[in-house]
Amino acid sequence: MKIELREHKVPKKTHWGTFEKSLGQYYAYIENSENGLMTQCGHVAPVVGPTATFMPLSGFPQELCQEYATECSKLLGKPVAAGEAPPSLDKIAEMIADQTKVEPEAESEDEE
Amino acid sequence: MALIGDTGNGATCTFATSSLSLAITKIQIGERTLDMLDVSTLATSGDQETIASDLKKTQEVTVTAIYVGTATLPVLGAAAEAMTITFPLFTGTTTAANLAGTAQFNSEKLPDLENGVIMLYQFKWKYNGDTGPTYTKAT
Repeated sequence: MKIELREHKVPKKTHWGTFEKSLGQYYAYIENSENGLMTQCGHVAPVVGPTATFMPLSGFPQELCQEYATECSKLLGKPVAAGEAPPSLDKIAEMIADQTKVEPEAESEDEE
Repeated sequence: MALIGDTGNGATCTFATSSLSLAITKIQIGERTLDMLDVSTLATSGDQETIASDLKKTQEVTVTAIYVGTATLPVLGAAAEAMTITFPLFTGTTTAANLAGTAQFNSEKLPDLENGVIMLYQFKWKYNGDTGPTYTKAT
């Protein structure tokens, strides 16, 4: 897996000119297996600190996250965790089913 | 002319410090505005004459997500952190457009509880102007 990290900087305009200021995070890139281009796949943050977290873009395969985080660790020389994924479709469907279930009516004890 | 335009499917919110894992359904990006100051004089006629003010007012962002009881919620007023909205990555681009800057969470709305209705909750953040907010186009 070929990866690349580029620091995310934004311009800061001052009375003395425009300078670049870091947001304290990296753009995360991975080699696109189809075209060979380094394509953004998320962010890694923070830049400063003993550890960092890889935060994937929506739709990035959850199965690749841990491997990507491991490669980032090698590159940065510090532990990088794979961010927790949002609940999967299966889990969301299960939650929705649970939230919207209708309890069967209890049989009446009073009989005419 | 080739058709253009796309939906918001594939957009992402990331937070540099908070460990949030959210099933987001909508990201509403507020307006960033710059006041116009009236510099009309007694000699002005026709239209009011205006100049731009010095400082822009940063936007507030509202995120709506499917409520998950075990999820960590944002902490209102916690230390500012970089909050990034990454737009969908379009075919032919390698870096998606994004809006990024330091911000703080300033609002939280837990879900309404009702039969037959999915529980959704909302939270908001406001960019604090320390770094950004800056929009960067896709490349």
